[in-house]
Amino acid sequence: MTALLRVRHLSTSFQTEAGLVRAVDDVSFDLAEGETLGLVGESGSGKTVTALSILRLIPQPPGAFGPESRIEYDGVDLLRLPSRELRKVRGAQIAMIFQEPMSSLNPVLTVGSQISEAIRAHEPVSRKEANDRAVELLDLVGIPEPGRRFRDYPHQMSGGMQQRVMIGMALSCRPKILIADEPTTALDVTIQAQILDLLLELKERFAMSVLFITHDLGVLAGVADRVAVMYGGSIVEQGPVRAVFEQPAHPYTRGLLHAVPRVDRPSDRIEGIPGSVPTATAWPSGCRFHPRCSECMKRCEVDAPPSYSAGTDHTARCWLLDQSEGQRQ
Amino acid sequence: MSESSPGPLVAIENLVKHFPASTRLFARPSYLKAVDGVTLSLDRGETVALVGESGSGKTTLGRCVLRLTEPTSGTIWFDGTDVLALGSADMRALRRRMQIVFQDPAGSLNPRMAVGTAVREPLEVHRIARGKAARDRVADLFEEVGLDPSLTSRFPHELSGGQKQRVGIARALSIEPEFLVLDEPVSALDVSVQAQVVNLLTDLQRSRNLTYLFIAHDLAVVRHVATRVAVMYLGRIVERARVVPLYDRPLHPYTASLLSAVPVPDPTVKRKRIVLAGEIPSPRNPPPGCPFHTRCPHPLKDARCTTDEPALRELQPDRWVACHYAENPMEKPAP
Amino acid sequence: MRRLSLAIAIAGAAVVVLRFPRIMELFSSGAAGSIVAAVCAVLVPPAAGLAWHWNRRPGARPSESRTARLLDNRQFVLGTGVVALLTYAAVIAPVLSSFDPNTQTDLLGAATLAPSLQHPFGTDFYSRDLFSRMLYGARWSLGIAFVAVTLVVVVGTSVGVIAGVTGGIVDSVLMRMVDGGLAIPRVLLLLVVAALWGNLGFFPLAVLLGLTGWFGVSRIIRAEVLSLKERTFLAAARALGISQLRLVVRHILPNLVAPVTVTAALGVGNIVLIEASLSYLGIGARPPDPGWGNIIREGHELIFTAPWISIFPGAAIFLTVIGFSLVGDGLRTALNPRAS
Repeated sequence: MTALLRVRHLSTSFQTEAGLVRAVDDVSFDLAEGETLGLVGESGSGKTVTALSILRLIPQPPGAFGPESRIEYDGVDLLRLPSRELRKVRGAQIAMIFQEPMSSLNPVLTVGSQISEAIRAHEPVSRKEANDRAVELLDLVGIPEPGRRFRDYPHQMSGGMQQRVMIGMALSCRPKILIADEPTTALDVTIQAQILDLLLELKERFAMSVLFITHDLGVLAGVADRVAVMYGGSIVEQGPVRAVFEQPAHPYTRGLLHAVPRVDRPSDRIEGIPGSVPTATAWPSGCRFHPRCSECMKRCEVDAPPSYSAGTDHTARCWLLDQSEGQRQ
Repeated sequence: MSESSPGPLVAIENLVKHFPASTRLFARPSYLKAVDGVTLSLDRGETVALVGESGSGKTTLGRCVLRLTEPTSGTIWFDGTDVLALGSADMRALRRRMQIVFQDPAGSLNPRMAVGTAVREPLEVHRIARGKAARDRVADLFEEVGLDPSLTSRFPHELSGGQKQRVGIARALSIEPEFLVLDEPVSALDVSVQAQVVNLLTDLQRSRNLTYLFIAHDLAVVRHVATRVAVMYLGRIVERARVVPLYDRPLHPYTASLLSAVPVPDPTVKRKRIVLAGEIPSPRNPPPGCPFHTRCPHPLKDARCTTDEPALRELQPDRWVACHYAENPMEKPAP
Repeated sequence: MRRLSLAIAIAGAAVVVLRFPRIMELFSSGAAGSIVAAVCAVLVPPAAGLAWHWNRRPGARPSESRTARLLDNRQFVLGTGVVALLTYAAVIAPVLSSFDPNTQTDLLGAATLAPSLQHPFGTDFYSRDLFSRMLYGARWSLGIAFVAVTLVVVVGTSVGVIAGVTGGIVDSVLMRMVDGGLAIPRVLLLLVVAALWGNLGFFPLAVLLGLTGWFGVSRIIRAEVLSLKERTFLAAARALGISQLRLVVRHILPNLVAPVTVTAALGVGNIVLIEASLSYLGIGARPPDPGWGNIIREGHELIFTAPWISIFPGAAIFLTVIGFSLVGDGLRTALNPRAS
C-alpha cells in the first residue's frame, strides 16, 4: 500500500491574547490508499485542528503552520499550494464531514440545492444534471423518497438524516479521501450504528481512504485499520488497531483503555486517569502526559520523548521504550 | 435521618407529562407526550438507571420527580409524602432531601458567582450554617468531592469540566439530601475524567447511603453504576429489571437492539449488531399499538403489535417487559 | 486607563493652580453651589492621582478579569475620557468661568464677539460669555441625561425582569403596554405637554424623558431574562429550594449587568440629542438659562455672521454622543463572556 496522504511535522499554532497556543505540535502520519486511520483523543488533544489543517481550513491569522510542516497529497504539498489550486483539491479530492450536521448545513436552502451546488462548484454540469445527481446521492446515503426529500430544508430532517445528507454532499465529487470529524458523536447509539455501517459500506464501494476522528474508543475499534492516539497536541502512539488495543505501549493509551466502561462485561470499578486534560494554553513541560502518568520518571518532567518502535508499524512517544544505555539512571 | 416509612424512598405512579404542542392559533390543541404513564420505585441506597435515546422522555421524567417541571398527572411519593400535593413552602423544605446534578457542568453554575459561594448559598438559604461555619462546611464538601478548598474563590470558567461537575455535586450534597437525580452527570466529560466522577458518585453513595436516579444514554456507564435499569421509549418504560439479567438477556427487542448498538472498545470482538431501521418517531404523533413496532426487528412481529399496546408485565420477579412476545425474546446476537 | 487618570490629575491640578484666586473667591462667596464646585475642583486632581498610582502597582488587578479587559479596551478608555472631561467641566463650571452665563456684559459693545483670550468661545447676540453658557449648559444637558437614563434603566429593567420572570398574563399585559408606549411619538407628546404647562423645569423634563424612554429597554431585558430562564443554573437554583426573590436578586440581576450598562451608556447620548432637539424647539431649557439645544437655537439666525455660537454647542453634543457610544461599544465587547 502506498501513502496517499503524508503528513510530516505538522505544527499548527494560534496567536491569541493569552499568547501563542500550540494546538498541534509535530504531528506526522500516513494515510494509505483504501485504509481507515482512526485519530483518537480527548477534548483539546488537537485532533480536530489536525483535520482542519489538512484542508487548510484554519483561519490565518490567527492560525499559522510551523516552517517544517508538510502535508503531501499526491506528491503536492497542500500547505504551499496557491488557494485556487487548493480549492480544486477541497471537496473533489479530499472531502470532510463534521460533528454537527445542523450547523454545517445552510438553514435557508433546501438540502438538494446544497448538494447540487457542491457538484456544480467542481464540475461543469447543467443545473438539471446536478439536481439528478443530487437525488441519486440522497438515495445512495439511504434517504427514503429522495426525490421528495430533495426539497426539504435541513430543520425538517432529524440529526441522522442531516448527517446522511452531509455524507452525500461529501461524496458528490467522488473524493479519494474522506475526513470524518466525530461524525456520530451528536447522534443516538442506534442512529450511530446506522451511520457507521453506511460509512463503512460507502468506503468499500468507492475505495476511499478515511481519516476518522473520534473520542470514542469503541467506535474506533469498529471502524479503524490503524490508530493514532493524540494527547496534548501530538500523536503519542500509532499502530495497527489490534496492536494498539491489545498491547498499548503508551501509559496514556493504557489508561484510556482502562477508563472506558464496557457494555459487554461487568466490572465493579473503572479506573480513571487522575488529573484533568491539559489545555493548549498551558502544556506541561517534558512529556505532556507526565503529571498524570503513574510511571513518570525524572526525565519525563524535563524532556519530551521521541518516537520509539513498539512493534511492527507500531510506535509510541514514551521514555519507557528507550532501549539505549543509561536508560535506567 | 428519617427512617420513618418502610418500603421505597421514591415511588412514581402512572406519571404523565404532556407539553402543549399546537403552534397554530385556531388548531385543535395537540400534545407532545413526553412522559406517558410511568411507574417506577427506588429503594433506599440503590441506583436506578433510566436509559433511552433522545426524545424518550427520561430527562423530563427526572425533572418531574423534583417538580422542576410540573407533571400533568400521576403521583410521586417521597418517603410517604405525596410530593405533588405540597404547597410551595413545604416543597421548598422537601427540596432539602432531594437534589439534582445536571449534564452540562458549565451551564448549571451561575457564571457570575464564585463556585464556593454557589455551594454555600443553599446552606444559607436553608439556614443550615452561616458565616465561618458555612465556609468550613464548604471546604469540607470540596474535599469530599476531591477538590482543593483553595478553589472556592474561583469562577466557573476558571475550572475544567471535571472540576465544575464536582462543584455541581458538592452543591447538591451541601444540604444533605437523601435522593439525587443524576441527569447525564458524566456525558459531557472526557473519558479519562468520566471514570473519576463515576467512581466519586459510587463512593459518595456508599458513605452517605444515597439513592440515585441515574439518567443516561450510555449503557456502558449504566452497567457499572446501576442496581436496576428502566429502559424508556417514547415516554414509556418498555423494560425494567435488575442490571445483570437485563444486560445478559434482554427481553424487549428495543433493549436488545440498544445493547447491541453500543460499540465495544475491542477490535477482536466483531459482534453482530442489530441495526435498527428508521428513527425514533415524534412523541407528538406516536404510532398506535406498540410504540416500537415501526422499528421492531423481532421476527414474531405481527398485526397485533400495530393495534394493541402491550402492557408492562412482570414476567419474572422484578422483571417487567412491555412486549407481546417477551416470552420468546430475540436471540442475543452471537459474539 | 492609567494614562487617563494621569491626564485628569494633571488637567485638574492645572485648573487649581491657574484658577486659584477664583476658587478662593467661590469658597468665600458662601453660596452652596459655588462651594461644592470649588471642593470638587480641589478634590478631583488628588483622587485621579491616587487612582493612577494604585493602578501602577504591579498586580493591581488580575490580568484575566473583565475589568482588565475593559480597561485594555481603547474605545472604552477614549469614550470614558471624553465623557469624564465633559462631566468634570460641567461640575466645576463656576471655577472655570469668570462670567455669569446670563449676564449681558455690554449689549452694544460686546455682542457677537469672536473667540478671544477673554472670551474663549466668543459672546452671543446679547453679549453673554459663550464659554460660561456652554459650561452651565452642560450642567443642564448632561444632568437631564443622567437623571433620565437612571429612570430609564430602573423602570425598564424592573418591567423587563417582572415580565420575563412572571410570564403569562402579567407578561402579556406589560408587553402590550410597552407596544403602546413605543407607538407614541415622543417629541409630539412632549410638545403637547409643553403646550399645556409651558416650559418644564429640570426635574419634570428629566422625569418625562425618562418615563417615555424605557419601553425599548424593557424589551431587551425581558428577552435576556427569557434566555437566562432556559439556562440550567436557574433550574439548579430552583432545585436547591432558593426562593423566587433570591433567584432574581442573586442569579438573574448579576447576569443582566452587561446588557443594562450597555443600554444605559448608549441611552445617555440619545437623551442628550432629544433634549437638544426639544430645547431647539423651545420647550427645553427656559431662556435665559442655557442648555446646549437653546444655545444653538439662539445662534442659528447668526450662523453666517457668528458661526461660533452654533458650532461650539453642536460640537459638544457631538462629542457627548460619540463618547457615550464608545463607552457602550467598549462595554459590549468587554462584558461579553465569550470574548475571552
